[in-house]
Amino acid sequence: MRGIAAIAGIGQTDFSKSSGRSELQLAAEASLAALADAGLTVDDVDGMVTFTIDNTEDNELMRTLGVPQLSYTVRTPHGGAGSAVTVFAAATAVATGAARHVLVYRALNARSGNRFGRARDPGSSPTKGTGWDFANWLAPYGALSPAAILSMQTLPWMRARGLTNRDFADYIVGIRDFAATNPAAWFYKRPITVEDHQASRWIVEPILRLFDCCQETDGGVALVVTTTERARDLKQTPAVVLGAAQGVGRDPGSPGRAFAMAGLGPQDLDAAMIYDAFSPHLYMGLESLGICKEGDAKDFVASGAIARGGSLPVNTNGGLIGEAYLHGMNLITEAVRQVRGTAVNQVEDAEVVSMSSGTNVCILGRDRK
Amino acid sequence: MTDTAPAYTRPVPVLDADNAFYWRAAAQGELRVQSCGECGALCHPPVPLCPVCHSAERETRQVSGLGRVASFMIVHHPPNPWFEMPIGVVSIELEEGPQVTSNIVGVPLEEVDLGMEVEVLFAGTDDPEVGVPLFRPRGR
Repeated sequence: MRGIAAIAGIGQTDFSKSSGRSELQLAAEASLAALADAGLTVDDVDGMVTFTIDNTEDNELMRTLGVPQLSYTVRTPHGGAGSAVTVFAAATAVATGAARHVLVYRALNARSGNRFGRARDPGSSPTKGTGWDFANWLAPYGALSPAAILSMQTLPWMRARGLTNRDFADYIVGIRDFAATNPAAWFYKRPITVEDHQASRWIVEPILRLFDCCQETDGGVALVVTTTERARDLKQTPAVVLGAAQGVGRDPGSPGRAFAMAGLGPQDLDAAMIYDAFSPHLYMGLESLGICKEGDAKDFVASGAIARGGSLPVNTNGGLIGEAYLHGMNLITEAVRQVRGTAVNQVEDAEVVSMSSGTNVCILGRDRK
Repeated sequence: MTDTAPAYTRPVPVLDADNAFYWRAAAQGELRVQSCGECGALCHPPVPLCPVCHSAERETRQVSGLGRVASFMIVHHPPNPWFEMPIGVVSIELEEGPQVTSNIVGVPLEEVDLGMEVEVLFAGTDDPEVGVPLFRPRGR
């Protein structure tokens, strides 16, 4: 599948704490923006991909936009970990001919609507089919929010690497610096210091402080995926899917599969977008991608390598913590902008950019026809 | 507590065909783990087939209730109607091998650390047939 598919269009709404409109409307606005960006119309759309937990049904979005028919529509599992899988699924569809133009969308009112970070009542929020069924083993013990649920096994992992919450400040200061110069970011013009990070209150001690946690955001993001060949005739510089892989399990080998498909290695990356719902995920991502050897992420981050001007800038939009929590999808749009050369915090001559969510990976790059 | 706080003191576990025995045993003062009737392998959380030999001969084994803290965290925020904050949440590695999630009680949370040796005790829920295993430092 190397190089066969490309992201031809990206679109997003404003990111806010109170959108004042339905999730369906957010999905529709982002979709139209992505199609316009690509130079396509709703008549071109014949595929759709979103998350299993997205509230917008494909047929309602079709009816809203006036998309006449679909030949392919699937949903990706495991919440935000599935964000990179949307590109994998859409690329697979266009590479096999199952669809010609796949519209990927994700829209949520995660602050003004069903607040993402809240303590969920397990009795009234069924978890079956959401990828969160394991959380029922934590709910009777008061771990009722994503921050708590996802931190249950983090402390031994930190101890094995000599990581403390103070180390996370090195990451956070860097992405808040990126967010500070990104007008779309919640933390635009609001950089912080290590001391600010360490003064923020505990959310889950001794793992997460407030500034280690992602946003609760209202907004929508959409992508248009088609073949690289078709994308060359469209409006934008194609962000070619050089490699993509999905992986479920303890050590599923998916980063290696994605890099092998691309014929590249971690050393070839010019920038990386790594799903960072909470600070520890960034460190886990650096190690699972092979950017760092196991245990080396702490020193790599502390060296400034992933911050502005570093050897491998990461999450240059401010990430999910500094820009917005569009469930990983705003890291894909940032990867596309880096490849196009249009990011607000542009990495000079960025040619190859990864986007990963958990063990799911896509590697985007410039067209090398 | 707010006016909307439920009457129960902690969220009642959501029971299904596979996990019900665990919570019901706790109401009887027993810590039970799924064991395979064919090969004897222990499995937690429980699943419909033995993941080792695929036997459907499910049994439950009462275990010692002794273990050590394999992971822990102190949940400070967001508040919720069922608990006084902060909450000490632990993953306990039982002497018999499986890990179970729980609360740690009977000790100041700042004294809890990985490896602490613990023993089980039990608490009720609003449903008299459903209980929860808790853990406290051993010998206190």
